[in-house]
Amino acid sequence: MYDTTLMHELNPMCMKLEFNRARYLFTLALVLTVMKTWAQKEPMKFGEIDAEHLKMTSTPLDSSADAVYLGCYGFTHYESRAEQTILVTDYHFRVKILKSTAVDEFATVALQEYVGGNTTEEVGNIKAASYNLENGEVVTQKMNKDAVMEERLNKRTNLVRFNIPGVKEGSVIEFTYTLRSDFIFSLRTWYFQKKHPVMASEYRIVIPNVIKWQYYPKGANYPFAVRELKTDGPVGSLGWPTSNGRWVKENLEGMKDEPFLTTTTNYLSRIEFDIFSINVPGRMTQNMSASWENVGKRLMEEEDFEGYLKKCDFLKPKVDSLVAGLTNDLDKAKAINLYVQNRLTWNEEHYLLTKNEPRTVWMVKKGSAQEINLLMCAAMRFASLNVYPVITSTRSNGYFERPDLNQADYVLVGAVINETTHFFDATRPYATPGYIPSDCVNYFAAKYLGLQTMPVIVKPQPGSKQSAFAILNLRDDSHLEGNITTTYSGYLANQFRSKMKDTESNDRKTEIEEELNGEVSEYATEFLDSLLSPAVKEKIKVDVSSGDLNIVGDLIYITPLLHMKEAENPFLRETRVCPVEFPYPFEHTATITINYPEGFTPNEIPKPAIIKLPENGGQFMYQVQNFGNTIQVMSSVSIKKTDFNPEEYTYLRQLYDLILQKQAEPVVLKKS
Amino acid sequence: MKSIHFFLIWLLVYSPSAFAYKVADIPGPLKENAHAVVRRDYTLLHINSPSSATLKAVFAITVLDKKGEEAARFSRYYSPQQTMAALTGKVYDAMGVLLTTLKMKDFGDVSAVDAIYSFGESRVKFFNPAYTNFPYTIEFSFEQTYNGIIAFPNWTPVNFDEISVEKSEFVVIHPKGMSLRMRQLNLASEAEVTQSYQDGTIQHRWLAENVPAFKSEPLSGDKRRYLPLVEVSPVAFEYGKVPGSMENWNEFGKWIYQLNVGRDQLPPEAVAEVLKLVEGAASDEEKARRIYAYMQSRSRYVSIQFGIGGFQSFPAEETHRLGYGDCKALTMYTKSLMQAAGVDAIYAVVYAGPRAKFYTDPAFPSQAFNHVILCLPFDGDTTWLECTSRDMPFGFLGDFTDDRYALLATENGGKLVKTTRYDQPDNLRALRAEVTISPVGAGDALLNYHWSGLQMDNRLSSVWFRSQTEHRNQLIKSFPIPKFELKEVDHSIRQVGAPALDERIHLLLPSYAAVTGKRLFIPLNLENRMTTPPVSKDRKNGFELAMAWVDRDTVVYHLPEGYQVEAQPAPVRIETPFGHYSSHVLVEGNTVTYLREVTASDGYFPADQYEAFFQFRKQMADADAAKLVLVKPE
Repeated sequence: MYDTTLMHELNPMCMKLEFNRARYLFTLALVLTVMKTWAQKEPMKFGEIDAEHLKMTSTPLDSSADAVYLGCYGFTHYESRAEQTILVTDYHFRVKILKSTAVDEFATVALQEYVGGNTTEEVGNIKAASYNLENGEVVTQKMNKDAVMEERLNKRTNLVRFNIPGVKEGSVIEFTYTLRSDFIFSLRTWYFQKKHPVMASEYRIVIPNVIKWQYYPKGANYPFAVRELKTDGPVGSLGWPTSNGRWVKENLEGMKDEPFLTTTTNYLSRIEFDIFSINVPGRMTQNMSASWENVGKRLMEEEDFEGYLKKCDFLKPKVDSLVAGLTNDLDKAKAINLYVQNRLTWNEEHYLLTKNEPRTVWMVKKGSAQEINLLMCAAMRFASLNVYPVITSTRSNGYFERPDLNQADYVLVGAVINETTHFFDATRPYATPGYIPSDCVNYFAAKYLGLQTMPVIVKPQPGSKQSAFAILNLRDDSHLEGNITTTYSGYLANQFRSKMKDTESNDRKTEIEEELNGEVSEYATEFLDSLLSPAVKEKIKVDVSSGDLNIVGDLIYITPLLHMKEAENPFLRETRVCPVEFPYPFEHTATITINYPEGFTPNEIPKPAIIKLPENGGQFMYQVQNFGNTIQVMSSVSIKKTDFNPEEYTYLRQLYDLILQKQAEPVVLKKS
Repeated sequence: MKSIHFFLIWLLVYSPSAFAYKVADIPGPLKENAHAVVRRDYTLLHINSPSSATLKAVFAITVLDKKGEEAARFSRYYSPQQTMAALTGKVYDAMGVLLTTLKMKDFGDVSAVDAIYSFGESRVKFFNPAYTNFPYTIEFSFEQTYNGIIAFPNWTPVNFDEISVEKSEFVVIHPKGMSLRMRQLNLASEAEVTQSYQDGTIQHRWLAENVPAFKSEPLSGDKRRYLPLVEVSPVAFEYGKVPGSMENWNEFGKWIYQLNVGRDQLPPEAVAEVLKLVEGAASDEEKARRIYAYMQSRSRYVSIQFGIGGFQSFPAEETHRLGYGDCKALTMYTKSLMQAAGVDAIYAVVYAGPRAKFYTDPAFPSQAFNHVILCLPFDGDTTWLECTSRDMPFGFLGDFTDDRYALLATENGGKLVKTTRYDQPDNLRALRAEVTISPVGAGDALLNYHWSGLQMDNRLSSVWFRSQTEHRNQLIKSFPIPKFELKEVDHSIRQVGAPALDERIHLLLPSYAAVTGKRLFIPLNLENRMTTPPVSKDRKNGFELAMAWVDRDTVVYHLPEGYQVEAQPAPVRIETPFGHYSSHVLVEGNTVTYLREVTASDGYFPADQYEAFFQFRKQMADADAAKLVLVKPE
């Protein structure tokens, strides 16, 4: 089974967890040990299968689903092992295979363990079985213990896998396992909702009262069938009173991936947890990271953060020479950003942890996002700029809404220059300073100001535009030829430069030829490497003789936008569950002039169109006019806001329909 | 007679001062169009006995720029059968000054498991250099020990586009009197053969020097067609402590048979189930069809590779119990089911993969296999079964294992037999569609497809591996029509005779025709427009058209009232050695019928014909873009 939500439960962005946890391990040993207790019976018992589930052939939750979770159950509590406290979670999943397409996905189960360092995780107590109805009899096949295979996947991760025997269309399968973890303050998110529909999902927790914690229901708004939290008296001689939580949700639909979405994980129905502090009377009080102030405090103490910034003195002379002669603070920031991104190569890692000392990173010219951006932050401080590190989460990692460092995975640099907040990143060699990677524009972030650490919003910069300007001439011999200059700016410039970094201009030429269904005889770019220039230009000379140009008898039909049309409606599905989240607002414009020879007259010119989305969310304008022997075409598509809720989806989809329709309308010329 | 004492070679290779790897020493022509230059690629395969060998190699490459980095990545499999005895690396700057030394622990080490459904003991040692001061040189040295032998790695001195080779050497040493099978492709010179004075061992040495950078060309087919290659295969061998011979196919087939003998036994209840299943079946073929469907309904494929298990099947009993297995286990299981019903079935090894048709060469008996299928030797109608798919139609192989040699492993030894070949008429795609166009340009379309042969192959995967919703979404993406709504999707696989797929799709196309004030523009080719192949100027190698096929499209358009045809494309007919194309339009009252037929040839064509092929495809693409223009008379 490779359900991402399950993998998520078992794949805790390992390095950053260690960063958060390791040092508290020993001080808390023994203290938390409680017996696992729960008065209520468990919702499922291994091996007790409901005959109805073997007979079922579909689920009312989704008639096309190929599998449905009959039950999911998790129970988290603390235990003691070898004089230390560990966090233990028992998992139990039961799935009905409705169609054979789901067999592979569910019959092989893959779990991950974090095994690097002193703090580890361990999967154990694995049991699995399949149940089939054969000639009216329930046939049970239990998995042999030796079917569990464990192997080292990489330095930090073990992969534990097993195949459940006898799985086919119609089977009910189930498996249970226990995850024992040294990361005792890392309460994992429980996902009620998954990719496949879920009939029932229950999560329980027993936490000693010495720990102050909180839970947050998140995602799709399914009601709780059970939601209780109560306190139990101490258990055993060393125990503490405990708070016992129990949450149940039922009948949740599966969540499918959709285009223009941060990640489905942001919208899955779930509960998240936070631990604020631990307070053992007479022994210790320790605040955990559940307030922004505490986040700041933790980072101040951290070698990998505040400590890192302090080791960057060697940069000062370089910075002095870089900003010499510059008077404007924004220019200084950009110059430093550009210098750092040119010097350092990003190793594509971006967890909240540094591996190498600042000087090493600087000398080997390679580092993680955090290493590179902390170096840049230090460099900007030497230029007396008002800058601070910004902690955030990438779009695919979900939102960083609460002061929980486990949810963060990226560090940027923030700067207040002339009372405006700017964000900088030096990991991408093609990016214009000030336009941070669009994957990092994820709204929620925190600016690190020591004890004054506080949330900050990272919104996309305006100004992403792709504008094409074409002058074309219709030749007597049935060719349309001319020059087209396309200017890309903002994030679209980054996107274009990133693409061209790995593309030969000849290949790019061929690519345009395919879109154009014509020939590109000349190809050139301008400002491709001038990253401080706000825009990059692409200039082509084209010759089109078919496709968008049709000549039949004495009529000529021209679809004037050629390859500058919108390629497709990205919103193919009729309905939408999650909001549409564009990474940034953008505008696509095309201005086309077509000169045609004497002897032709316009026979039909497409009518103009203007359509606007509600609340000024975006618009499309299209206009074709004839002046003398010249046709002027103007097309403009702009998406002005980034988030559209599912109710607005229909408008967005209709907007694209109209765009495609208008842009496909030919101009008709007639030979007189 | 030249005779080199080859211990001298060792001295040369392992003495660091001998090769400084100065960038200035690279001959000028090797820098042309090159992102990296292989300075020295030395592989020594020292075979001691049929079951033991060592492989020592040194690979040094100068990376000239960022794009040359990929060729400098190190990655090598190892397993208990082929251990990694030593592994080091060195990095030099442009002047040849040593910058860093890499030890075994500096290399990455990951499981070779590439999919969540594969289980095995192979692992990979790897290193991805990421130095930013170009040019630099990186040298890797490693040594592997064979514990049991069944095959040796090929020597391919040229592997990457835009990488030149200064010197690449392959040396094979074996005891005198031990025979080996060797052959070379696309190499100008033969191996140099010498004998050691000391112990009488024989040495073969191949050399490739000063090979300029090349760029692979589109459609050039398998690299074996044009890149140098040396293959070495044992004759007498021992793997997993089981000795065998590849003297001829018969012997090797016997070895495989022996390894698996007795693994086709079923528990009595399974035999009873099979007998019940085939009750009343009129023929062996009918029995086989029922059994295949039964196996498919209760089995799934999981890749499992452990030691001799790479060649030995799980016992059929166990596969029956578990309901999963790899290609060996599932084939053995199906064979045992067939046997229980009295149907003859033979375990057959094959090299699978769409580009691997020539990997098994009758003249070169060797371990040239990576997959197992089942052969049913029906009289005059040999049928092949792919046993790892739950959905494959009975008797269909597709391009995974079609048209190549497979080795039947029988009691009497091995026999090489060709698998099914799909010819042009077999690889058919036929569409019959009716589209009703409304006055606003919307279309209501009913599409009936018929697919067979290799054209069915691709389509099947989109029909199978998805839920209905995902199948619909997939179709939405595959249609080149800007927008439509799927009303109904249905398919059936023909289970009698040759397999075929019929699909029925009902679509609404809200803006199929472009509308202006008085005109309607209807694209005639509904969803099967030809694309042009990549441009390939100054071609050096020939090009391969892998599959011969036929497309037949008939699209009937029902026009809205009040319009008349203003313009229609003239009939197009193109005939070339690469195939034929014809399209024409029939107008009858309010009905327009678009007829298109393409027959495409397969084959390997000389480089100078590429332009003609390109033009053929371009002409088809242009003809496919034709529109019908309707006008409302004023």
